[in-house]
Amino acid sequence: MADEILRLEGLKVHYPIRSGFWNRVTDNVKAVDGVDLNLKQGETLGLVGESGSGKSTLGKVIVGLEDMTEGDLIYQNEDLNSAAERRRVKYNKDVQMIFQDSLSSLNPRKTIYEIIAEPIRNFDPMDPVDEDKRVRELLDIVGLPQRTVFQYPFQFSGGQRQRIGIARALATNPRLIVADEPVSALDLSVQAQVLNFMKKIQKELGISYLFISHDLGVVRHMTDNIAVMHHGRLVEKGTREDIFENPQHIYTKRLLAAIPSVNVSERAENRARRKQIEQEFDDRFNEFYDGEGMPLPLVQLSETHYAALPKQSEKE
Amino acid sequence: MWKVIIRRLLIMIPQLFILSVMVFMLAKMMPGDPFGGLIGPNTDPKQIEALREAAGLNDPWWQQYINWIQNAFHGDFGMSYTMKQPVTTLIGSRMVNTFWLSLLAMILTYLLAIPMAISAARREGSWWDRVLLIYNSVTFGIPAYVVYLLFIFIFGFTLGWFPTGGTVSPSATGFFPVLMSKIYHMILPAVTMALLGTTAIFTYLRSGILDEQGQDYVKTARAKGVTENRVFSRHILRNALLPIAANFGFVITGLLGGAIFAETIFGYPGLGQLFITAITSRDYSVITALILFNGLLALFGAMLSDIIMAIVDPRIRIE
Amino acid sequence: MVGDDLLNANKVTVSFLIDGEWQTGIYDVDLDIAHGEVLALVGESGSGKSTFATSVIGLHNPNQTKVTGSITLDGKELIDLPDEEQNKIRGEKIGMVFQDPLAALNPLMKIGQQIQEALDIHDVYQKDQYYDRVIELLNDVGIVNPQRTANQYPHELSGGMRQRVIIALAIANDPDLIIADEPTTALDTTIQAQILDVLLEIRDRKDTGILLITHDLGVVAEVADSVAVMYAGQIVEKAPVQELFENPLHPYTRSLLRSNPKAEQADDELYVIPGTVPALSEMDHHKDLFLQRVPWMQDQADEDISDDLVEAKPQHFVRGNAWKTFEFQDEKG
Repeated sequence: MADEILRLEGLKVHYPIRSGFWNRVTDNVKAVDGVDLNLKQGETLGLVGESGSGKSTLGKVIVGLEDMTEGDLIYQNEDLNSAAERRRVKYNKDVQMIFQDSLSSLNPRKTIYEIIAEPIRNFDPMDPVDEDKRVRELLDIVGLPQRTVFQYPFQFSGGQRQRIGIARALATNPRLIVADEPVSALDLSVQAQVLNFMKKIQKELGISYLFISHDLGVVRHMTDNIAVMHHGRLVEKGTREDIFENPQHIYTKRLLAAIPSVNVSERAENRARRKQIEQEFDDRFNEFYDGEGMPLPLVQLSETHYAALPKQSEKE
Repeated sequence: MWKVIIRRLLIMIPQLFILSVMVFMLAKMMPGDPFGGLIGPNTDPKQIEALREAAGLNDPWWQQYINWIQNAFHGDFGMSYTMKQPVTTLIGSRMVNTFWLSLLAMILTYLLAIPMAISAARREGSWWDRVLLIYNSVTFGIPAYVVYLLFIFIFGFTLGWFPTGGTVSPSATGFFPVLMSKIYHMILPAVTMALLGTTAIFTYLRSGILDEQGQDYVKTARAKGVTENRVFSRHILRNALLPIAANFGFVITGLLGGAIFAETIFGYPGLGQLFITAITSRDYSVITALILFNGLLALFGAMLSDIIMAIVDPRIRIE
Repeated sequence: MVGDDLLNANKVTVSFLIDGEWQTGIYDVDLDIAHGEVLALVGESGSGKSTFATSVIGLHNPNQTKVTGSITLDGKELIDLPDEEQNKIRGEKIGMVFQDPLAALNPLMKIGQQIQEALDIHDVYQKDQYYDRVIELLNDVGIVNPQRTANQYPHELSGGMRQRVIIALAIANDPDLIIADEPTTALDTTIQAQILDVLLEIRDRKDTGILLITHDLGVVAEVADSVAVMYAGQIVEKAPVQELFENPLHPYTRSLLRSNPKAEQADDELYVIPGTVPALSEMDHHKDLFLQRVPWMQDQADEDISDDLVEAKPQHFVRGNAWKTFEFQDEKG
């Protein structure tokens, strides 16, 4: 069993809603509402859900771009809830992020060299000769030619920019990378390139990924374990096989049924099954969600498999 | 919608309080007091002290502030020492002049700037666009008073087309001749101000139009079969005018603030000219009143802009 | 279900004026769409698929774009139509659905007004019918409370709702053809499925032809009747949907299908198409441009090939000769 690298316990991110005449806080948007999750060294955990499910917020909390309202973030068995504690263990050096939009996440006025060198300067300052060596080494790792080092982001294609983003994330030798929709903006052929590459560096460097995506085809390809998020909570988590072969929650079933299949001959059956599951989702919504429309607590089904099922199904 | 407006009005209460305190402190920091000017070699210091006491200048500062605010609420800002008139009367008569001049200048500015921006944006990159861009950066760059002096020299003194000072000709009698004479006196300063004042509106609107032209909803409108003219007026222009509309609150309250340089150079007795006169003669009570007045205008302008924005942009309306 | 020809595109070539030179963006495209047919035009970004759509509906900038060849809708030539006639076709005969549903709606106009504008321009519906028609349209695209939605602004709706509104706009005057340019790319998978359902329902009810532009092979497999694959401004393969997915011929189509992540081989490395798409200025459309990217096919990459596609099997058209001999490297004996 691999070592655990990160554990989240009861993580909540609530945003206040102000309304009424005096603009008082009347309610909270529960972007993330009590998520427990753990990630092992060298594993890829897929986090799936639709937009607004809270999956990106969760990713941002892990890298420290967003504060949690409540809960615990345990990194390598240390409780790191404050920024000071994170600085002490160099958490921000160990945990990096890859973004969806590679153009807007790279400073247009900085050269590739400056972009990749920046995290090195922040976390691991070295003399200019070593720094230059390191930057060029990173370019090699992501497969960009050395001559591009003084070019600007706009001079690259989408796939190349995404690899620059990866090089920047790798600059500090991170242990965990949060990848938020890293290939959604890319064409199929480029997507394949980036995904293969992410797997390759994982094998070589033993990095863990939290792979956030709405594309279940890509998630199936990339991940060992999957967590399905809806309305700020997890509705199901388990191994890839648990989720794809044996989904238990109606929302997971619905997500899976909506994946378009390239199997043209089964088109009609697929559609009929999808419609049936959509119907089931609507009909049984109240069984699977509480009075406020929030998913129920997770129930353990097997050693690896958890789902937010109603009490009766638990007994069944 | 009403909630937005009322809430916005309520926000103004603390703003007004802070403004009044700041102006009051400013007035207190100014050297001397109203009786300093009375001191001559033969004046008895006790007599001055008595006057001070009577005027409340020896009260604690908060007492003075309350008195000052109470008087201000009643429109009493004291007397101008140099012009020997109540400040309120002085400001009142100038305000009317300033208002009409600024209104005319503002209307002319919009009449110039909006068509300039539209015609430049619709022919982006053409020589006409370039001419207008150059014009607007030149008028923005050169000091306004140079142009004012030049225009008053050419059109006032040399050609004699327009009067070189005042608001109305002394020989005019009767409603209509007086009105015409007043407009005649305003034309040169107003036109000059408008010619020099187009840059902000022009730049905002031109770049707004260019931005909006590339938006997807414009493509949608074309795909619906909307004619090019209607695409422009109903879709592009409406969206591009939003920042102009937002700015309108400031512009309209700014009308009352007065144009310091233009009024002074064109010899037009408005608030701007009054301000310069008061500063050069250290007429503190007038200065204080004018600063307070302009501060109030700025606050109202901001409020008006917020309210206009809430009316024209549905995304800002809060349920 | 698929009826007579609705749209015929013949030898459509589009050039752009770039830095004072005309460069060919799409070359010699032939495409037909029948009444009631969903034709998917597939390709990666820069392949020219959106350029083709823009030329059909005439939304290109005429000063910087030159369209030659012939595009007819029910026999009526669309290329170089005067503006007034062009405006009559748009929105009345052809409706268009865009990728980003928020950007595609005017933020300052209520949904009802925006749909009404589409009705107002054309003479299909009369003024007193407008409101009922707006409600009917919103109903047709599956909006639960159409009266309420008609009175809302775009920012008050969810992404899926906005895309339904865009479709309602596109079908306002019962067009014969809908051009949907990446209509579900910005949407979640569950919403995507519903939006595609809406498009298919409209097709079934009104016998509308649909030109579906997408890069998503899954979407193609789910909804298209026939498929045209585009690479570097040319159609490289055209076939009925099942035929194309089961017997892809052109090396590009085969590579594309192979690089799509599949359930059965989840842990394998994905196939990566080598090389990159050539720049516009470097495209010689008389060659099979894809072969330039295939290191082991260089002997055929310089060969001039016919502009016309070959009918390799009935209804299955493919460009060039490489399909006869192409093998992936790992398949070679």
